[in-house]
Amino acid sequence: MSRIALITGGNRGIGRASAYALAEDGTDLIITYRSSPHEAEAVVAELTERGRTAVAVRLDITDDESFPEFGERLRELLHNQWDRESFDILVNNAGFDRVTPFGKTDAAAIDALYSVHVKGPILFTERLAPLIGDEGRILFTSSGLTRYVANPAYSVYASMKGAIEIYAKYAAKILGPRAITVNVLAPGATATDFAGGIIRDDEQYRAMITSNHAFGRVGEPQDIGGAVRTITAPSAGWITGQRIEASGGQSL
Amino acid sequence: MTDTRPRLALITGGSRGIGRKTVLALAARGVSVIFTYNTDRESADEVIRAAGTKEAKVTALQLDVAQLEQLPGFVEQVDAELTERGTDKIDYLINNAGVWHTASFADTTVDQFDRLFSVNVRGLFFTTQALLPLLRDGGRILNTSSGLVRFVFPGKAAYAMSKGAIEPLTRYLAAELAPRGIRVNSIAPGATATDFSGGVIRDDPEYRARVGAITALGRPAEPEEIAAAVAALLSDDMAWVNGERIEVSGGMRL
Repeated sequence: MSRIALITGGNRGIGRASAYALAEDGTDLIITYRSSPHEAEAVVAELTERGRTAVAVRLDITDDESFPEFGERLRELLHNQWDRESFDILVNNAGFDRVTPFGKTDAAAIDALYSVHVKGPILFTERLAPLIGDEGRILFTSSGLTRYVANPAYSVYASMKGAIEIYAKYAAKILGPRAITVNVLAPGATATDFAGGIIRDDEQYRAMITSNHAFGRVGEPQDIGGAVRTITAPSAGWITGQRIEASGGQSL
Repeated sequence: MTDTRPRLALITGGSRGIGRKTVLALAARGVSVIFTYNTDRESADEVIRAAGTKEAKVTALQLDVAQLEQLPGFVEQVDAELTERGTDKIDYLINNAGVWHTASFADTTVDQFDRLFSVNVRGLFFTTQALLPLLRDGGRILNTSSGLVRFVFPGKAAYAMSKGAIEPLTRYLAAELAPRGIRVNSIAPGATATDFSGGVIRDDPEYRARVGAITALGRPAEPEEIAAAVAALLSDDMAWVNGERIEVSGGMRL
């Protein structure tokens, strides 16, 4: 039986690379997208091409009032597509950045970052937990920025990511009796659309953030996708409550 | 991203416990293995028989990592072993050999302390250094730390210190060996049912229950669960994880 993974924000960047990596192992996919249905459809088409069953569902992770309905929809989807009552892997990946230069931090930016990186993933995970099978896997996405300061303007972004790291530890303890592992993946700077694509596209910025890096380069989405696959694999069943950084060795 | 090229692993301390299961897990994945044993040739032979795989060769070499004067001869033996297998490099170095000792802080003797550091720190440091020329560019080093570095079980102060020393070494190696593309990480197993601590975690039901009560997954680990994590962490998929300490404890003392 194929395992089933749900990846929020699976339409691009790290989420998409994670979907492709999991698909290589024969995992079926439910990806969510917020504002880019065409991107999501392209990912689903690619996954289907690779022989996986894949579905895209719209989700705004900041809209917690939509979660009950999303849960119902997911239940139906699992039943109709897979004849199952549960899925196996939840990857909380969706998110965005806001810069908050010290002294100019704007209240709306704090609220937005809180909604997307803390409140949303917590309530979403708790809503979906009953649908995650025993021995399942939950992964939260943090950031290397909780350990090192690469750009001072990410103070609030990193603080919110730090909050979800702590929540993950509690969830690991709480879901342990069901043999569900809960871990955090903390990517370093990765060449995606993140922050308007600045890490991918701006050579000067890239040089600045990789000046103290073991490999002197930023990560590619597939570098992170591979780590997602490994940490959520059946063989990683004894790894829980951990923060695992995939940065190649940033700011060692 | 699937591993296709045949790989070779060198595992120190492969005749029992987590090391033994790591030999078996890697051999089952088609990785050919050279492992070391200190004194127990019989157990080493048993591991070779248990691995018994056609596609992956498994052999054992004697090494006491505390006897640094043994290292040049050991490196020659490894080199010869590599040649015999039609390769010249090690893909994965897994520093697993170690000793434990239980004594309260008040009762720990200088000899006990020196023994722990001689094997767990000096031995690992200089074995790794001696093997560097035989390690493939783009290869991996995985050092075995311990959950006891993070959480406290009275009686393991000197042991935990010796394991703790490996963690900064891991980060330094991650930085210093990056120009050769070598990734270096450490794993920190929690309580695991092996000979460790006199086999108490494996054999004493009351002790096991106490461990279970402070572990998210509700019990001590079996050595094959740590070995599975080791094999997973060595996969090409994890190539962007570098300089990390990954605890494999089932969520002990979260």
